[in-house]
Amino acid sequence: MEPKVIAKTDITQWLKSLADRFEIIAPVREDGVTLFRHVEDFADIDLATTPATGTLREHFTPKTETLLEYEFSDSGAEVRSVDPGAKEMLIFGARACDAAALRYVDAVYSMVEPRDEPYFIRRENTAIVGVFCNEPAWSCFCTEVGDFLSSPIEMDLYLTDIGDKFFTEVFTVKGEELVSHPQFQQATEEDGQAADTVRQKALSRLPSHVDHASACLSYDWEHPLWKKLAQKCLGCGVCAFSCPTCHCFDIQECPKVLRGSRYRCWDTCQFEQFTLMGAGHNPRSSKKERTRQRVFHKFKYSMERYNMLGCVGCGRCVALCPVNMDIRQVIRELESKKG
Amino acid sequence: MEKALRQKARELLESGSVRLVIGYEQGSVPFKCTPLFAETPEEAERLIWNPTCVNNLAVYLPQVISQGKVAIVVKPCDVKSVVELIKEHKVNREDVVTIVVPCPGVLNLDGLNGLDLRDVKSVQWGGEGIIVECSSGAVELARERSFLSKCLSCTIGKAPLADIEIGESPIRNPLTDKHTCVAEYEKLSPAERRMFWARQFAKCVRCYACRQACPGCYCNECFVDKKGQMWLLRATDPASNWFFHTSRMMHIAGRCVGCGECERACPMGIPLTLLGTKLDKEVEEMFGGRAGESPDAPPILGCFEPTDPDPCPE
Amino acid sequence: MDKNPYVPQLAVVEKIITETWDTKTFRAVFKDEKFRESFTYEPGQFQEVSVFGVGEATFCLTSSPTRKGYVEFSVKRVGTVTCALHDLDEGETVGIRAPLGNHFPYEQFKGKDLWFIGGGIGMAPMRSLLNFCLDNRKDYGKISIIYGARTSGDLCFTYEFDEWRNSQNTELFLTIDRPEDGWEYNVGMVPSYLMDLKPSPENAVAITCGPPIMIKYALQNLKELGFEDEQIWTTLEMKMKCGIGKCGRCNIGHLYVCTDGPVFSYAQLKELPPEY
Repeated sequence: MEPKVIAKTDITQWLKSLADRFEIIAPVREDGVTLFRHVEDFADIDLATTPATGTLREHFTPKTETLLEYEFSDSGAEVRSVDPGAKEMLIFGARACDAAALRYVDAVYSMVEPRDEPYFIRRENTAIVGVFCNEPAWSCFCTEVGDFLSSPIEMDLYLTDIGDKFFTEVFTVKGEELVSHPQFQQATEEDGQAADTVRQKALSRLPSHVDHASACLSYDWEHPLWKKLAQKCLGCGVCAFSCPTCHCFDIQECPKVLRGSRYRCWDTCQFEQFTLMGAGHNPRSSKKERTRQRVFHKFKYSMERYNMLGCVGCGRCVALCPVNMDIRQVIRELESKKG
Repeated sequence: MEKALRQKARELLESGSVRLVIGYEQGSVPFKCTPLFAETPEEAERLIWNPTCVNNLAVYLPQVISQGKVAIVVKPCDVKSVVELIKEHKVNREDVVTIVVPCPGVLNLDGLNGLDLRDVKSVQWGGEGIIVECSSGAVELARERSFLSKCLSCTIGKAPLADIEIGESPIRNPLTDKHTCVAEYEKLSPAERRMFWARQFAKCVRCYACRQACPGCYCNECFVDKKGQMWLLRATDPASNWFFHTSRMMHIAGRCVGCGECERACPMGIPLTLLGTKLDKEVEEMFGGRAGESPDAPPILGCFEPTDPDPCPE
Repeated sequence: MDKNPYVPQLAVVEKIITETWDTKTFRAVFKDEKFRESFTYEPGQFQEVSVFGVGEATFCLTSSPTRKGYVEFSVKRVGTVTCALHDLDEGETVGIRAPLGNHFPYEQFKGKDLWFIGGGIGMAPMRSLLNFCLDNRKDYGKISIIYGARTSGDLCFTYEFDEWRNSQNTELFLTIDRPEDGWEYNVGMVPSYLMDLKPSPENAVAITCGPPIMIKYALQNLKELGFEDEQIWTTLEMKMKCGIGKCGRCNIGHLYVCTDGPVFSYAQLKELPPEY
């Protein structure tokens, strides 16, 4: 489909007309952080913070999700599945990195049968309206690991702010449905050029592509930097819980005597108990092993297993790490010539 | 200042009197620092001291102290954490050398809002607060905007435990009282306070950054991780999040020195220092002492006097 | 959502055998008749067993799929779930998600001499393959089992020893770490007993499982005896939660022990980071 435009002042009207069918999720700023939340007042939407502090993860695999409920009975026990709602979601204001990360998580959750059904039920019921990053943050480096900023994936629409309107690219059938509303007009050549100008300006402020995909395959297991990183790493979960590709979870029980539930919640390889076994053996008992695991997993293991990098360069970990562990620096050092 | 700091650190390492100097070095960008663990005089050359040095490095002491004597670069406020660790026998007094640096106040990153952070070249003290060198020129930021709020109420003259002092502590001219931020909060009714925290804790993802960044949280097995007794769920349901934060704060009460690392580390912007400061105020009002002021004072909540207030209703 | 992969099947504990002071073997029968009839698995696969209200944990399927109608798992009492399992009575209900993981490539083992080298509860995953092979006896060559434990009281499956010994062309070599009154068999650690017995790598396959330190030395010794990397097989244990390659916990390098394992050849292990 040919690109469209929509006036910024028409966005609210457009979203309102979609609100019957979709639950609208958009970035909202509150108390200094921007999180993707269910919005009803579209004036609250924050498209300035790049990227949002939070990721889309909450809406596909919530930080806590009940999987099943059980009840003890005369016949022993009964168990029933707890299903995610069937309401369609529309995510408005996702960044290219947020959407690209979904392709990675899709691969993780479906590579081996059975696929992660709760995740895919939500995923298949969600439309994604992405927005181009006119002002990338100092921590952004998506262009270093991929070209999805210019050629986005996993989006239905891609909006580029060209002043008083959004230049709108349509990628899917769902996207065509979304723009079949009176607020959208055909884009002119000028609109296209304005979008190009905006794009070029943003790209000029971002790093160039580096072939991490090849380089990561020979990362050094015994590199001296692991010890150094382990010394300063606090061992918290900020990097993992702010990462759009992180997908690890814990499964725990919530007992209430005669009945209860089983839930899953976000977990991270950065926690000491992640690989701790019942009898006490822990293959990653020190921070050195856990820090190394994170970097190897995001890069080398992801390439080996999914033929995709596990990092989309959103820079959240870079911006949020309390001790300035900068993954860009780490991989640069791992990839620099030795000796 | 940096030269003197590096020289002192070099001397300590060269003489072998310490095996490690924990300090700050240039981060991956000019407006951030990162912790440095210098084991050789050459590594000590990377030490810096500028407004970006926000971290409370005392958090690292428990994990490194077992391997020998350690020197640590500390702001006067961070020294209070070292005092508490010594009080609690987590660190032996003779195993740590405090290198106290003169601190007018450190950088609040939000103060740089409006600047293009990619253009920042350096952040130094100067003028009314901080001078940020950008590629387009220098920008002066008053301290109200550019310092952390704890710095605006700082009254520390001489640090309680200074083995080495690099330069002299600046004259203090606090803009606010330490407990000012609590005043607004105290106007809220209990129901309003409950709603306030419910909204804040709903954001909590249980990353435990607050716990990991806190020098007072050094338990080998935290109460949240105990498997035998499930005190709370790992889930982020309101009850579990509430339980985690309030319990952690109660464990910290009387030991919290107000360094603010918990709030700085939190990726969700939860105002944890409000809780810590409120508890600090309660402890001071009830028991007269404050954490981190004297290594000879007993732990405030670790002992009792028969004359201690007993606010339980008759 | 019928396809929620995290919801277990219900099973009734039909029999509990006390193996040692800290190990019990449970025999469970699926409640749903249709599921029970159609349930099938391969030797080497595992299951996630849950005690409702406590949690879920990973156990190998120690029974052989040739013996139908039930599944068995052996539990060493070390943590919350295992302790809760030990507290169960016969007739109680558990949840089971099975079968999970890969399995021993027994097709490749056909016609070969098999050496089972097990220590303590490490015998449990191999027992599935062992009984499978014994039930398909003519498909395999000579079967030798080296099974050891710290003390005679730590040996599991003692009630099957005679069945193993009496099987055609099958030998059982028992060993314990230190001498005991009344013990008629070998005394010594499993890896050194292995060296004493000197298995020939000619047309042979070695399968080993036990405490990490035993596996380490057994692998070393097998190499010294001339076994090729592809002739040596083991089954690994890692902390698991989902068991289906989603939660990211059990990886060694780019492989997940729950889906690419738990059965691995030494050739595969050598390519992986030394992290298990």
